Amino acid sequence: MGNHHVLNEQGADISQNDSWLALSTNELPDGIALTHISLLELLQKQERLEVLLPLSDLLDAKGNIAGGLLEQVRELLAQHTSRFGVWVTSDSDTEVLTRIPEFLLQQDLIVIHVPAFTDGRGFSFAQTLRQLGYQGEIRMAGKFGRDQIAYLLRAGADSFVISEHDLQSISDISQAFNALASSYDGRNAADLPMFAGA
Amino acid sequence: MYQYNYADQTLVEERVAQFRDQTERFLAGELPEEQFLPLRLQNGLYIQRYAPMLRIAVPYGLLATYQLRKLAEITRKYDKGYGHFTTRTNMQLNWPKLEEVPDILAELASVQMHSIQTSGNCIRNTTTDPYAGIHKEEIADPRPYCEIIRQWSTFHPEFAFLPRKFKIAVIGTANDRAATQVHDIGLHLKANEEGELGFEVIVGGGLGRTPVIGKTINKFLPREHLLSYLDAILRVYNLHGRRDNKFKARIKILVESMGGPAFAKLVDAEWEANIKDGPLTLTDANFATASSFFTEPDYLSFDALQIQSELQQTLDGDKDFAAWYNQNTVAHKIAGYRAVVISLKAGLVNGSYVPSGDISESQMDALADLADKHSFGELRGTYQQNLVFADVQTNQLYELWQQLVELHLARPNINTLTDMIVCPGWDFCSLANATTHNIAEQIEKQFDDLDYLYDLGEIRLNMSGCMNACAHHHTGDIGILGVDKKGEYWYQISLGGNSSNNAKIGKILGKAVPSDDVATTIQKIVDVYLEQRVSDENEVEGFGEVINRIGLAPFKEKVYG
Repeated sequence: MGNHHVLNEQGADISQNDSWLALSTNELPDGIALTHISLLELLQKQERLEVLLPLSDLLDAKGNIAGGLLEQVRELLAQHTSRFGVWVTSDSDTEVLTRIPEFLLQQDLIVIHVPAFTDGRGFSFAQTLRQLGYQGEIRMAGKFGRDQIAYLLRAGADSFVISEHDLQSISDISQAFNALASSYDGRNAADLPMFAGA
Repeated sequence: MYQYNYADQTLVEERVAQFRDQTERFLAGELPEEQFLPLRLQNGLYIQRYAPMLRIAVPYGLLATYQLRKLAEITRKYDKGYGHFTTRTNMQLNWPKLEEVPDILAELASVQMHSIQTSGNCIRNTTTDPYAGIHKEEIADPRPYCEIIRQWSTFHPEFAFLPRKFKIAVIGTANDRAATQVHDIGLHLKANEEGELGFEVIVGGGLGRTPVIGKTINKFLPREHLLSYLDAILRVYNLHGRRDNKFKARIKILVESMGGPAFAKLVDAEWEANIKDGPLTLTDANFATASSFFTEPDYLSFDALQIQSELQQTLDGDKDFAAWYNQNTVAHKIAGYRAVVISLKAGLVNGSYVPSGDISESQMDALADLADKHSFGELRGTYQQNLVFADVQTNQLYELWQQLVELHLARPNINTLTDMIVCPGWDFCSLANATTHNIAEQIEKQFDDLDYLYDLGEIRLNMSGCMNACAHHHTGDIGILGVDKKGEYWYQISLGGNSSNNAKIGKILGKAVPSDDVATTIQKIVDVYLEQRVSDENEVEGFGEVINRIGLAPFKEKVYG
């Protein structure tokens, strides 16, 4: 796993305070979390950690949450975790993105992995989560670009995982967080310029 | 027309700043090509064969004269002194410099214009009927709804990276002059029995390499739900549309693959579960605000009989004026007014061919002056790549016509065979397989007799330089498609297409013909039509009707037999 940073909604680097760990699996993409941990390691830990689970491993073949699996996982990890989150990728989890199950809305963190710059499904996923009242953190990971950050913020994302390499090649990333500052979030007709009456 | 407030103005200025930054980062090597590409496209910027091409948005075709003057100035300053109007009522510049595009955008922003979302995989400029607001059969003026859609779709954070481009057209009359059935979404304003307004929603039309007529998924959507329902359609498309194959990524493929009813069900499920009756719901106050920007101009009142008899005298006194009046003017809901179609199909001017939709900077300036004088300072673009003065006093038509003649903008060929829709073709477009302008010129030379064209009646001829079908060749009575066969340009002809109420995809006549034979082949097709059509004193059977009745066989026989 390469070196990554987490930036908050103002573009400030919050990596120092971030302690989410992604559970290692074969499918874990680079940069879902700053570090990862195997199940074995996790079960040996004395302290309780913040753990990210892969949503696709909790699903049955039809894309529904496998009955009882989530509870079993939680039970198994209960002694070792303080908070749960899940990561999803629009590459494989489209069915879930279109029918967001109730349990997702209870997670503390949902990491949306973007498989390609031009793959806009993550925007719809974040927006729908917010329209359904999800209050937790939405974090973007993967191949989104600097110039998509402002759109992602308005669609409901709170934080962004960016590789060390990308961060160094961008001269002033804070600008990306303020692009098109006046545009709206797409959720309220009253915010259209002619109705907002600015 | 709609006037930007502080919020709109700030938005376009922020966009200029953003694109300036992106262009500078790209030129400095900081922004990778694969990321700059979709970003520049969302600002209407293509890289073409000889130079970049910039597509400037003309929202639902409505232009104020101060905007047209700015376009003239921009083409003088940054381009080669002309612009090109497209079927989606935008203007394309063929010769801008990449590094100057941010400056062009800044100039556009100074007159409430932009090139936002005129390309790329996002929601494009909404189009409508060029006679919106002036047609006596109109159920309601579509422009307020177009403006609501413009504002909703501009920088909508969820729909900027769709599987493919997305086009919406809205009409307010039963007669479709905006090709709505071949749009990703077509919206037809309707009134229910209680007199409430709503929309018939048609989804999944499109042309390109897989031409499809759209399907109605909602017969009457009450207008307050317009945005939430559009949101639901776009979200279903964004999540389910194919991303693995560019040629199968349009919504038409998704709708075709599952069928209209199944698609409608998905949209309803998304709509009802997540957004219906939420904050995207529009209120009567919202509609009143939107409509307030499209009020009637200060029409004078005329004695209809008197004005008619005066007009008749002028018509009787000048045959050329009468031809132009019959062909290039359209009835208006207010007595004493007509709409005037400005033909951008001049054909051959002093021996050289003027491409369809092209207009020079001096013509733009002159037209702006004329529109100030004769049409309340506004113009409109049409699907057929012409312009319209919507509100001309009947008693000023003669004066206007004389001026337009001087400008080569009064060719009385609207809706005739030479009112061709033509894409820029190989000369300007890197997607094209074949040239189009030389073929259009050949057709102009073959069909240069106006009386003959009038006898033929309305025939829509559309010609595209490749299967992307920007000139909608599938929906022409006669469609011409340029193809490349081992480095030579050949032209495939289709017959019987239609983009209006009886929308239909034309059928291919047979094997492509070589470039030298296109006009003579069209002549043979027209000859068959003239032989076969049935006329009585009231009615002449139209081209499409003849095709429907006798099929393609007699045409094939004549062309290939």
